[in-house]
Amino acid sequence: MTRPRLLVAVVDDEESVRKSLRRLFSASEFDAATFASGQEFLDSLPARPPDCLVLDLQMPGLSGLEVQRHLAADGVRLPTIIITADDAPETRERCLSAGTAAYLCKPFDDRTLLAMIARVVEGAADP
Amino acid sequence: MTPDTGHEVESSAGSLGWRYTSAQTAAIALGVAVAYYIGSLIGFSLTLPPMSPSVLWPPNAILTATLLLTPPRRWALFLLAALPAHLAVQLPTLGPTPLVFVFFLTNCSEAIMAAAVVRRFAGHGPGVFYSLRSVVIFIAGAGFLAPIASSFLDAGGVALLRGDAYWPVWRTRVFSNTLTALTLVPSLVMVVGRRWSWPHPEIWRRVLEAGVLWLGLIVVGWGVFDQGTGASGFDVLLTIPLAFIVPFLVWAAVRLGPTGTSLSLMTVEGLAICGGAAARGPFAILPPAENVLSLQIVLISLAIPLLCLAALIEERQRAQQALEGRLRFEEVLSRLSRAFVHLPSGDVDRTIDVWLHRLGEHLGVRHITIFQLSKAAKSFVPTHSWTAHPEPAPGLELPGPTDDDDLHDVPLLITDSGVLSFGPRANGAAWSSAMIAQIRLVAEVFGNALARKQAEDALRLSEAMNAAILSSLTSSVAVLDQRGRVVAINEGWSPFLNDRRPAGIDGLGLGASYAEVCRLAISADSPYVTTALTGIQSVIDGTEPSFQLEWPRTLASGERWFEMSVLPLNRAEGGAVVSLTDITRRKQMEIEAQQTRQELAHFTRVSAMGELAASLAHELNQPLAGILANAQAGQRFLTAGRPDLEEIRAILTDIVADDRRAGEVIRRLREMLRKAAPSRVLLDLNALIGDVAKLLSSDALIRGLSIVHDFDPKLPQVTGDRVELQQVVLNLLVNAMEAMAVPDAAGRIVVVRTACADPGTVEVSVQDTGTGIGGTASIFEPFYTTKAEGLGMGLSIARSIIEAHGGRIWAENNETGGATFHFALAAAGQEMA
Repeated sequence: MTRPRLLVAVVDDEESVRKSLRRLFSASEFDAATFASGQEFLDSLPARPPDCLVLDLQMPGLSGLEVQRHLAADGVRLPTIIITADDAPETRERCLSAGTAAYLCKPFDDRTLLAMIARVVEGAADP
Repeated sequence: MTPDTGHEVESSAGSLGWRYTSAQTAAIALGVAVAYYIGSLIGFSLTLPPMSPSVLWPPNAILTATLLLTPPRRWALFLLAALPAHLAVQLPTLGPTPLVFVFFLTNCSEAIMAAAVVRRFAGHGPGVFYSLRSVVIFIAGAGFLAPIASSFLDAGGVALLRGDAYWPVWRTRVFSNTLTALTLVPSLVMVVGRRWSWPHPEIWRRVLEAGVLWLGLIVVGWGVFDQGTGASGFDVLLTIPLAFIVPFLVWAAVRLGPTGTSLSLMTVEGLAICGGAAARGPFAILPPAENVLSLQIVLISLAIPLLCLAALIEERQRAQQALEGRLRFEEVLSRLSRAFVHLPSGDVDRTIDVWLHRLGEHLGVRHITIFQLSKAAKSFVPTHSWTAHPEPAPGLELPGPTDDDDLHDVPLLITDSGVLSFGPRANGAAWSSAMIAQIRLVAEVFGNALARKQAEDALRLSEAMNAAILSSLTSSVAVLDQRGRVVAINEGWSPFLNDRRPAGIDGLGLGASYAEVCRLAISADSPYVTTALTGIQSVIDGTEPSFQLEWPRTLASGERWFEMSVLPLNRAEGGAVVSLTDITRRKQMEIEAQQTRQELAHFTRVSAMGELAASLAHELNQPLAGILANAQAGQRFLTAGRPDLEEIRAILTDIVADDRRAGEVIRRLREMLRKAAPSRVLLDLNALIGDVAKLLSSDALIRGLSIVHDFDPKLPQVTGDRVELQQVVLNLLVNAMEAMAVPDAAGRIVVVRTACADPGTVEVSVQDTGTGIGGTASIFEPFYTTKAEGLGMGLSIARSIIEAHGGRIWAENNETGGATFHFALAAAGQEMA
């Protein structure tokens, strides 16, 4: 049986990152929805909840961690992969301790990201 | 008659001669009493046998002489002093009768009248007998008026109290008193009142002459008054020998003056009375009363012309002496004046000493001192003095009245520079007003000489000071006149130029032109020469207030730097002062300081970049992430075998853009870390600040704050070093972001503003909403920091860079919190105010 195409939400203030990830997901049999800010994503959530969230950490307005806090507060359990250009170890620690499922430093390899998406989506599906 | 004594009291008040101590007053009173007593005894004895009135009555002369020698306010005292003597003599002979008191009163009244008239019209003291006019007044007042007037009272008293006939008594008294006044009073006044000096070189000759005269007078007088009497009554022939006396008296009048004359008259008087007492002489045949009267008439007749003659001769002699004295003085004064004309100031002191000596000897003083006003001490200090050596023996100074004009000490003001003080005169003589007037002239000569010396000394001191200042300057200094010729140089000038002198050119000293100076000092083929020539000319012309030029020159010893500084010469004729200084060492220090500053700036830039490593990584990772994702998406499209070429083209375009963006980050980073010599170029500060802000944008993002730009689009360009000014902006932005480390969700914003504050000045400000600054003064000092990490050099380096660009930097707290840092630079082509 063929599984339906997964919807991956991408939240990043960098347009170049958004565009490139949408292309990558489109070439990899995923559907992709991109948002330039955390607030934009949160507003779209009720209409179209994604299967997975690829979330940038440092953004103007709501940061990645703040978006996660909002989701947790609303009781939304969404497999989330944090992507960040800040490769400092303490940032990684901070993200994982905040309950992030996965963490990737920019720039990252396409297979790593896709494998990670697959892993977190399966992990979420398992009871 | 009441003597008017007010005038005398006043006029005599200034004379030292009138100021008696109590002891002196008592001594004089006692002297008067004793003299009065003795005089009375002598008067009684001067009668001719068997019985006659006294030929002379000395007590009256003693009283009159006393009053002529003493001040009127003492008259009553001295007259009263004579009363006991009067009573002692007269009470035993006359008994206690009112007549005794009447006689005393008439004696006193005669003395008072005589003294009052003489003092009123002819003065007082021996001087009365030194001029014809005053002698005539004396004869009239003391010789006739007073005796005649007082004799009325006397005769009245005798007639009333003793019953004698009035007119005979009156006549007797008049002749006796007149003779007494004319012969005794002058002798007493001149002998007692004279200021004797002893020993006087002249006096021995005069004593000898007086002795000879006196002896001659005794011999002749004896012959005249000791002749026998004719048997046949009075014979006029017997009076002829009286004529032999006259030559001696004239001799006395001509040679021995009024004193000798009056003493000679007294001698004749004495001889006449002795002859009469022995019942001999030309009038012995007459009855005693008439004999006395005859003698009195003869003696009065002799006394009047002789006193006048003596006074006339004395007067002429004194006038001649005064004239001679004045001529002598004027000669001295003229020589003195000549001595100081054109005298070099160095010789003035010595010449003053020489002339004080001459003047002292000429004037016969014991010492002369010149006091000058000391400005420092605000007092008079003695500067020149002369003292007679050996000290002459002190003169025999008799206390007694002197002329009103006379003074013992004469301190004299000389011009405005000092006082000339004379000691007492060696012969005890007083200073007359005429002498004081003369000495004032002397004082003026000294004063002028001293004033000229002071002026010359001050000028020389000032010239020496100027020369010393010029020669002690380390620079080589030359003074140019308005035509540009060297008119004065200091010691450093010649070596400076001569060391650089090309072969064939002599040293450029006085008389050289500034053009030659410039060519030699700078180097004939250097482009600086034209600049220097124009600059110097503009200062000489007055078109520029000063001129300064620095230039390098390669010498055998290596590269040296020199500075030329030109200032206008501050005098009416114009000109300029050129100073040349070797500033190599200063230049080296400047260069070293600049290098140190650059190295430190570089170090802090590197250090700042290190601190920004995380955000720089972020800044690079963003485009890299885009590039990689795009590239891999492209690969997947191609692998899938249905490539959408449009999509592939879009992917490649994005990859190129991201790559360029990453390249820009690297470029900015390299620029900031570059270590190169500063170079001044035209810069657009808006672009420069934008570059730096981009470098920091990731950092701001990580810190959770934003950098807002508020740029003036019409900002003029500035001239400066790109890297240095980037560092200033970087330091200010980092400083602002660090100041907001305390999270504040409300407004974590850094505003960077550029503005054209006033035409010609570009101002940049960095405003934060942080904690503000404590003290604005020390934040730009090195090692000032409020943070645990960091050197505290950021703001200090920013200040040194801005100041090196001729700008200024400052900071202030905002009213709404946080601080704003500003720096201002001159727009290109403008000078900072």
